Order: sequence, then structure tokens, then C-alpha cells
Amino acid sequence: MERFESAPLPLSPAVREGRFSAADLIFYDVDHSGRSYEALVFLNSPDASASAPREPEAGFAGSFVIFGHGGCFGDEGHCHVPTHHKDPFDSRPLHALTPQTKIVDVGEALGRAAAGAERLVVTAVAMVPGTEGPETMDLLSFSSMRLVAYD
Amino acid sequence: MATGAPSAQRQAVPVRHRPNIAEMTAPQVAELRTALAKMLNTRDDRGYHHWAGIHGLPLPMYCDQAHGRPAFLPWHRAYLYRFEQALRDTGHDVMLPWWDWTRDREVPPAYAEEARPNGSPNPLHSVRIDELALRQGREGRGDERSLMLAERPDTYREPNLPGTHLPTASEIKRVIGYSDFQRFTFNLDDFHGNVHIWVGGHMTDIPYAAYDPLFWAHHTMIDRIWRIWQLKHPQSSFPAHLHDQVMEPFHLTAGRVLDPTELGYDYSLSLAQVRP
Repeated sequence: MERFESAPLPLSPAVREGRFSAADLIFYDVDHSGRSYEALVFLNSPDASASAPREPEAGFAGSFVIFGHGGCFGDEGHCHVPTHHKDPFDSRPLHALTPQTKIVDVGEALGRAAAGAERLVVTAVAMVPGTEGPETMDLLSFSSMRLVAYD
Repeated sequence: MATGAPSAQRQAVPVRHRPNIAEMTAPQVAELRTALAKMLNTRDDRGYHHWAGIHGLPLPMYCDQAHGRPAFLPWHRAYLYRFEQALRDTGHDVMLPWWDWTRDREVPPAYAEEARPNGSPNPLHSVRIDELALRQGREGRGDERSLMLAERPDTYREPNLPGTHLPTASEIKRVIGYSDFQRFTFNLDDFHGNVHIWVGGHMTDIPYAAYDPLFWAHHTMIDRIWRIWQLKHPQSSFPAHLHDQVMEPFHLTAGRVLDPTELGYDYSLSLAQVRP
């Protein structure tokens, strides 16, 4: 997808009241098989775009970067990621394109966005640079996202 | 930063120091270029193309076990170490310099200049990519961008395009402040990716990134940041499962590369040396 807009996430009393020392947004099973891109992450800014400023006022919370594999360069099946290891004696490392986990430090941004709010909407935009300006591209793919606050 | 300390385990052996490229003298830069040119002219497994190809094309792409994974830092430390040994095997007393992109917000002149003072091509500016790597890029099922890169046999850069971001000193300072290794490494991995995208051209994507000589200065900076973090958080634990993990194809485990002084190097701002 080019952009992701989460369903509203309920906020705990501790988050609403700012009783946390740090917070991360964790994206699971992020695909990295294509070209490189940066996923810009915004809080409570559903209209955010690839050209939005990286400023707190725009709801910018942080980003993660995919240093991309660039496609598949092997024969048929070379880039097929096994869904699980069937053989307990198979000690080979994970397949090269096993999806990644990405962690975005959103502590400061969450403190701003959660003050007085009941819910949080996370927007992530897949951005690639271009000579005419940043563009969104259909590169963003992940299985789930988690907001974690720490005391 | 420079600890200046000898190796705790081998105190009679002084460690070597990796310098800041911005502080190197003209003769030091000239010697680095000469050493790299010799590596480029070596077409076997001691040569530049062999080492650059380990990261991306030709297959296998060994760095896939590092990017976005807990092994990101130890794998690249092992990679730099082996590359640096090959560079020194050319007979030149050089070390990999680091590019402090938090301070120097342009491609360093030593890498940006197209020619050396004598008029010959500057090997730090651009290199010819391995032909097999280009062929695999052309004939594989890469995306449109990979195909475009495979059609350009010489590395090029396109720095500072709109939308790119070069990490700032305050951002890196914040990351160095994390006490948890995984939180530190995952966030630093992302900022490392920002630099690849900022440089543009072949540096942007995995298949050909390591062919750009600037790759090594960028990753030496990343390794330096890890070294600073290690000194700042000596009590921080390293994931136990990584200790014995082999960093392929370097014949080194992650545990073996934790202490740079055990590998014979550390970091300095600048270096001047005389012999009697």
C-alpha cells in the first residue's frame, strides 16, 4: 500500500496522563523485497502526505527506513520465503527475505498527541525521493502494528 | 572520540586508528586513493569487486542476514574489518576513514572530486561495477529501479534529493542514549538507511550499494557510533543468541567482534605519526 491509516487505537490512562518514559510503534512482518523507501509516521494527522514537513506541528512522529532488496535476481522460487521450518535439523539462517520488524521511537510525539485524547490514529506513508519532490509509492506492507509505552 | 588505549588482551600491540575523512591531510587521502586503486585492479578474491559483491550482487546477498536484524552491527563490523585487511594488504598503511554526516552535510570532497590532483580518475568518486553483478541485475526479476541501476556500469550519486533526510547530531545523540541494544540497533539501522537514500544513485538500494566507495566511509561512521554507544553503556547486555552466530562469510562470530581493540582498531578524530 502507499499509505496506512490505522483504526483508532484506545489510549490507556497512563498514556493519556503522560505517565510513561518512552514509547515505540512496532511494525511487524515488514516486507523489504522491493526498492528502498522511508515510511513517514504521523499521529492524529490522517491527512499527512509524503511532502508533509517533519515537524511536530504536522503530527510527524518519526519514520522507519527500508533498505530495499530491489527485487529478485535468482531463478523461479529463489525469493520464496518459507512460511515455517519443517525440519528440526535445518540450522540454516532465516531466508534472506524473511520480513523485518521495525521500531519507531514515538515517545515525544505520543506525549503531544495523547494529551487529552481518547484515541490515537497512526498514519504511515511510503515515501521515495524524486527530483520533482517526494512521492508516495505502493511499497508499504506489514502484518500488524503495536503501540508500546514504557514506564 | 578516541580511547587511545592499547588492546587489553594484547598490550604490546598498539591498535590502529580510523580517522575522520574531513581531518585527513592531502598525502593521507592520496595514499588511501592509491590503495583503493590497487584493490580495484585486483580481479580475484582480494580485490574490490569481490568485497563489494558480498553485500549485494552477484548472489548471494549476504547482507540480508544483517539489515533489519539484530546482527546489523556485528555483521557490518566484520565486513569492514575484512575489507580493511584487504585494503591494507595492498601494502599501504591506511585505515578506513569515517564520514561524519552529522557535521559534514555534503559528500566529502575526497569522494566528490572526479579527479585526483594529477588528473587521473579519483577511485573514491566512482568505480566500475562487477559485470556479473550487472548481468544478474539486468536478467533478474528486479523492480524498475534495479533495472535502471543495472544499466549504469559506473557508480553514481544523486545526493540530497527532495524528500531525503540526513540524520542530525541530535537524532544520533538520542539513539546513543538508548541503553537497550536492540532498541539502539534497530533505530540506528533506520538512520543508516536514511543516509543510503540521501546519497542516492547506486547507494540507495542493496544490490549495488557497496560498490560506491562512499559506502565504506558511511558504514565506518555507523561502526563508530556503535563503538561510542558501547563505551557509554558498558553494562548493557548483548543478545545471548547472537554471541555464537557466525557472521557469514567472514568466519567471525558476533561475540568475536564486540571489542574493536581485539580486532586491532579504534577511532580517532585525526592522526599524525612519525617514525625515528
